[in-house]
Amino acid sequence: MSSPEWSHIPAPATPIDPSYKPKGSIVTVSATASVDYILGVLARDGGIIIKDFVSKAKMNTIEEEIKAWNEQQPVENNSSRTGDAFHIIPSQTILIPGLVGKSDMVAEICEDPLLESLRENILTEKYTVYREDWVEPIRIEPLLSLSLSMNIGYGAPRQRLHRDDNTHRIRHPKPENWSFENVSQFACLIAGCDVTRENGATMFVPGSHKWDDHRTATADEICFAGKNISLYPSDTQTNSMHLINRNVCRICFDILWICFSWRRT
Amino acid sequence: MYSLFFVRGVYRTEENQFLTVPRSKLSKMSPKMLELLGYKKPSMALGLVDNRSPHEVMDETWRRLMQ
Repeated sequence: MSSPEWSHIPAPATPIDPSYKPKGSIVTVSATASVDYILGVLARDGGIIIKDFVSKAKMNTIEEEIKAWNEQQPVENNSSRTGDAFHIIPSQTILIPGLVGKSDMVAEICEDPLLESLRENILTEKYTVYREDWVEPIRIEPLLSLSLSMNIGYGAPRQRLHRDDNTHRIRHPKPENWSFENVSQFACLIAGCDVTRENGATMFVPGSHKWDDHRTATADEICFAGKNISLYPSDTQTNSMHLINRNVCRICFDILWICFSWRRT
Repeated sequence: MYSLFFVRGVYRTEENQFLTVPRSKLSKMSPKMLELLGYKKPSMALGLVDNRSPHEVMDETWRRLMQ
């Protein structure tokens, strides 16, 4: 007897009803907002939109720097789609991996003081090791996990709500036990155009970064990271979801609980 | 959309940065960027090459790997 056909690539997610009205919204601040303010919003909501984080001139530079890769990869013959690493990303999307090696401007943005401060506050490991009479302060700096351009073509279905830290099998504690100590990663998603719900703004569920593993998000909890956003770092962890789109940014969190072999060698 | 994902330094990165970013680019990158790509050993023994921080032995390591 043959086993039922199975694929790890599911059918497209059901579109969000255009009449759906989000119950909440995502906080937007200017790029001059203090780091403490941004951290406060991230701790509460898991995501934030930072307006004009990257100037138009810098965005133009990035576009020029990666033009060749965009042109090399027409959607229907996109070599980045030959692997299955990002099967949850719609096939209409042109992916340009290794972005910091292709755009000097993107590499420069990685060193932006705001991102550096967020990495220091959220991801840097600082602890003390005791060995008998020996006391050793330890510091482990964060890493760039992934730099990726996503140009989402017309007609692409939305992604399902997901938690990016599933990659590292992060266990999530009960909401009352949440703290930045539990966050394993964050993402900065830079919108390459004005983003709206209609053209595919990233979706996410405010506060869901604090959920434990017994709760999953549903489509009626979504907020849209529209509109006219230049950069939107939002909380990753928060079950975030993308729609059709082009551009937006979010920051992702997640919780570190127990680790096995996915750790660094 | 340009995505930058940062993780705690104890985790394996989604992209293998050592094979992703060309050497010609690395030579022009800042110490901070090299650190983000994993070329700097933190306080603990992580990411070692010959018991040392990769950024201290990059040129000789490349030569050996190409043999």
